[in-house]
Amino acid sequence: MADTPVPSPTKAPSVEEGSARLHLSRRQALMALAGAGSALSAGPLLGALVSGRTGRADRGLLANGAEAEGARRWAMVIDLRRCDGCKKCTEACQTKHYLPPEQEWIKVYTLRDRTGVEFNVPRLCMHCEDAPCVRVCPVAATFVNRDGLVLVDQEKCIGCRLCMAACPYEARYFNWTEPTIRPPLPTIPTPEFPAPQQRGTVGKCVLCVHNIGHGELPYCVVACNMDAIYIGDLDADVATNGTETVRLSTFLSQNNAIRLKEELNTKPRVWYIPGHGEDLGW
Amino acid sequence: MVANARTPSSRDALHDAAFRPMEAPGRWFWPVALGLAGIVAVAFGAYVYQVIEGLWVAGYNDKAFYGIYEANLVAFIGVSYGGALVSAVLRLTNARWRAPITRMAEAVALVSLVVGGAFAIIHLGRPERIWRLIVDPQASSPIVWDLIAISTYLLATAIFLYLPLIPDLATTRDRLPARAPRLVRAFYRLVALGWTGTPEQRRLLNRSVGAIAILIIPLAVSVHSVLAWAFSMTSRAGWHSSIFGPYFVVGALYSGVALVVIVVAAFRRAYRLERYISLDHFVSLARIMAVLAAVYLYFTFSEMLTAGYVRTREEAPIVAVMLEGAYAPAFWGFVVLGIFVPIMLSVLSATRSVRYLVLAAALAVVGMWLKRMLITLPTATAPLIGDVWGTVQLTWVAIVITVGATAAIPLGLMLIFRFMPILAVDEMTELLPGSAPAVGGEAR
Amino acid sequence: MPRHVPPIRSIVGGTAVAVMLLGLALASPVVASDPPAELTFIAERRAEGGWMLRATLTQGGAVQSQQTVEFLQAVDFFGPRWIPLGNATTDTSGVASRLYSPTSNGVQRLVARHAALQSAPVEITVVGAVPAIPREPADLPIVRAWALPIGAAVLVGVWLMLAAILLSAVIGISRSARRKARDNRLGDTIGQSISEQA
Repeated sequence: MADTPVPSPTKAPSVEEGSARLHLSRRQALMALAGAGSALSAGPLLGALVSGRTGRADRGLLANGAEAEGARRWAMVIDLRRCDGCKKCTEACQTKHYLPPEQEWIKVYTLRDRTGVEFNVPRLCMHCEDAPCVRVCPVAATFVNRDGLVLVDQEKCIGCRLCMAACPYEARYFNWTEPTIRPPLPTIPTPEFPAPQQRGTVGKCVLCVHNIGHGELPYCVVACNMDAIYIGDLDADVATNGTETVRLSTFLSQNNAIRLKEELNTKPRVWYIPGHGEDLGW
Repeated sequence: MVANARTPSSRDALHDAAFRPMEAPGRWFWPVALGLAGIVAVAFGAYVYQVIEGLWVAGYNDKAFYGIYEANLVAFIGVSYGGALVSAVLRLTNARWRAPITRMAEAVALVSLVVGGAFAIIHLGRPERIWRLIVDPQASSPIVWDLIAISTYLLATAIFLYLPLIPDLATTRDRLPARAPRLVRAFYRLVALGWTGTPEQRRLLNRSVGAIAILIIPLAVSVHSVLAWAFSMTSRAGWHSSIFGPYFVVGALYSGVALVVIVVAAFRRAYRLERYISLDHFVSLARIMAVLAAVYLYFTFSEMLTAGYVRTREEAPIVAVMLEGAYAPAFWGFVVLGIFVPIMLSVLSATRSVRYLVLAAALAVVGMWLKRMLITLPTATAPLIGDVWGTVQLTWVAIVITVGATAAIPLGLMLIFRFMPILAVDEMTELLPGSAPAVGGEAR
Repeated sequence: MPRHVPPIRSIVGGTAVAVMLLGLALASPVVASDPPAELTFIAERRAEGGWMLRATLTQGGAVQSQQTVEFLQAVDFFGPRWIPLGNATTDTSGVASRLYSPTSNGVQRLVARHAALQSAPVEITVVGAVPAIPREPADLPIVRAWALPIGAAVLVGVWLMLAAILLSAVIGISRSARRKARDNRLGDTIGQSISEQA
C-alpha cells in the first residue's frame, strides 16, 4: 500500500520549525475550539444546575406543597347560569390594562352544545397549579408567584411562544407588534402590571394581582353586571363576586362546578358552574 | 479512461478534479456566488425589518402562532441528516462506494445545520435575549434541550468534517502555489497538523474517525428527537404524539439523503466530476431514499390511523382537515409526489438516470418541506375552545427569508469548497485501490 | 241663627282626650309589645373534630322555637364580608345547633343571626383543619428529582468523549509528525556524517 509521498528532507526542517513556533498555539487553539463548543452546550446545563430546580423555586410557591406565610391560594368561579355574553368583563380588562383589541385576556366564547343550546363561557388564564406553560419556558420568563398566580416577566421573555403552544386553554397572547395603546403617563411595566407591554413577548391575564394584593377586586369581577364572576381563596375557603360572599368549597360542590379540560391534569384554578342544561363537553 | 486512483497519472487526475473548485472553478462561479449572496443579503434585510416591526410582518397572529419559520427550522435542520447517514452510517457499514461523496455530504450537513439553526433565532420575538438561554435556562424546557442538542451536534459534525479532512488539508498545503500568501500557507500548515501519512498517524486518524462516526449517530438522533419534542411536549392534538421523535428522525434522514443527491449532482456537473461519481452512486443513494420514504409513509399512516380511528374530540378535526379538508390537497400531494413518485423513480429501471433520480430527490426535499408545514399549521391554527380556526398568511417577509435560507446553502457549499477539496482524496485513495466503481460510466 | 261657638272648655277637654288617646296609642306597643329578643351564641370545640355552634333565641326570657337562625363567619376579603355557614332551626328549648367543620386554620369570628338580630361575635381558634380543596400533589416527584442530574451526567460524558476524540487525534497526529520529522533530521545528520567520513 503506497503512502502519500513523504515530504523530502529539505522540507522537513521548515515543517518542524513552523510546528515548533506554532506547536503550543495549535494545541491551545484546538483546545479553545473544543472548549468553546462545549461551553456553548455546557452553559445552558450548568446554568440550570446552578439555578437549581426547574420551575423557579426561588421565585416562591410552586405546586409542590410549600406554603408561604400569608400567601393565598387564589381561585375564580364563573357562574355560567348568569353570564349573558355582554363582554363587559373583556372591555374593562382591556381598557384598564391598555390592551390592543385582539388581546382578550378574558375572552367570552359563545358556544353551542350538541342540542343547540347557546351559552357563553368567559375564559381567562386558569393559573394552573401544574401549569404546562411554566414548564416549557426556556428562560423561566413565565413563573408562579407566592400566591400561585402564573405571571410573565416580559423583560425575560424571548418570544419563542412555546408557552402559547403548551397552554390548552388558548389563554396566552403575543405582542406581534409594538403596542400603540399605552398608559397616559409613563409607567414601568412589571410582571404584575405589564403596561405598556413589550413587542415580541407574551401577555395574559394576571388575575389583577396588582389589585388583589391590596384588597381591590379584579376588573372583570367589578365590571360584570350579572355578578357571574367570583374571586376566591382556596385557603380561606371564601369567594365573592363583589355582592355576594360564599364558602367556596360548598359553593362549588352544591352547584356541580367543573373545570375545563380536567383530564389534562393541569389542575386549573378556575371553576365553572354550568347551567341551562347544556352538556359539559365543551 | 482510468479505472483506479492508484497510478501516478490517475492520482494527478483525481487531485486535479478534487481541487478544481479551489483552483479552476470556472467563469460562472463568481456571478452565481454573488447572485446567491445578493439573495441572502435581501433576506437579511427582510429579517432586520421583521425585528424592528415585530413578527406580524411574517404573517403570524394569535390564532396562528407557529408557522413557516418553525417548519423551516425542522426542514433545514432535517436536510442536514444526509451527512450523518452517508458519512457515518455508510462508514460503519463499510460501504466503500461512499468515498467520492462523503466530503460533499459532510459539508452539506454542516452548512444546512447552521442555516437551520438560524431559524431558531429568526422565529423569536426577542432574538437579542437569547443570551438568557445560556445564562439562566430552565432545564425542563424543550427549547433548552434543543440548544444543547444542536450545539453538541454542531461540534460533532464539525469534528467529523475536520478529522477525515486532515490528510486532504496536508495535500492542499503541499499543492499551494509559491505565490500563495504567507497567512494562507500558515493556516494550512496549522490545520494539517503535520500530516505525512505514516502508519501511526493513519492508525490514530482511523480510530478517531471511527469513534466519532459511532458517537455522531446517537447525537443526530437526539437532535431531531428534541426538535420533535418541542412540538410533542404540548397537549395539542396533532403534536402530542409519541411517534414524533422517530417520525422526525426518519423524515430528516429522508430529506437529508435527498439533498445529498441534489448537491452531489449539481457539483458533479459544475466541476466535471463525472469520472469519480457515477450513476451507481445515485442509484445507491436513491435506494436508501426509497427505503426511508417507505418508512416515513408508514409512520404517517400510523399517525393518521391512530388519530382517525379513535376520533377524539381534539384529534378528529385535525385528521379531517388533513385528509379531506383545507389541507387535503397538500397532504395527498405530498403522499403522491413526495413519497410515491420518488420511490417509483428510485427503483424503476426505466428511470435509472441521474436526471430522474435528481428529480426524485427534488420532489422529496420539497415534499418534506411541505410535510413540515402540514405538521405545523393545522395544529397551530386549530381551535382549543369553540370551533373558530385561525388563518395563516404568507407574507413577503416570510417568503424572502425562506428563499434566502435556501440560497444560503449552495452559497455556503460553494464557498466551503474554495477551502477544501471537494472529493475526499485520501479516503478515495485508501478505499478504492484499483477496484473503483466504473468511473466515467453512463454519466448523464 | 244661634252661633255654634264651641266653648273653651270643650276645646281643652277635646284636646286632652285626644292627647290621652294619642299617648295611649303610642304607649300601647310598649305596654302591649313583646319583651326584647336575645340571641346568644356559643361555639364548642368537639373532641372528634369540628365545632358545635349553638345559638339560643329567647324573647323576654321565653325560648323561641321553630325559628331559623343563620350562622356566619366574618372575613376581610376585599373588604369586610360575611360567609354563610348554614342555617339551623331552634328546637323546643330555643337552641339552634349546627356542626361546623372549618376548612382553614387560624382565628375565626363567627356570629349567629335571626332576622335583624345578630348575636355577639365568638372567636374560635382553629388548628388542624384540612382544606376542603387541598393542593394537589405533584405527579412523578421521584422521576423529576433525578432527571436533571442524570441528564447532566450524560451530557458531560458526551462532551468529554468529543473532546477526547478531537484532542487525541490532533495531538497524536501532530506529535507523530514532529517525531517523524525529528527522525528524518536525525537520519539526515547521520547520513551526512557518514558521507563526510567516507
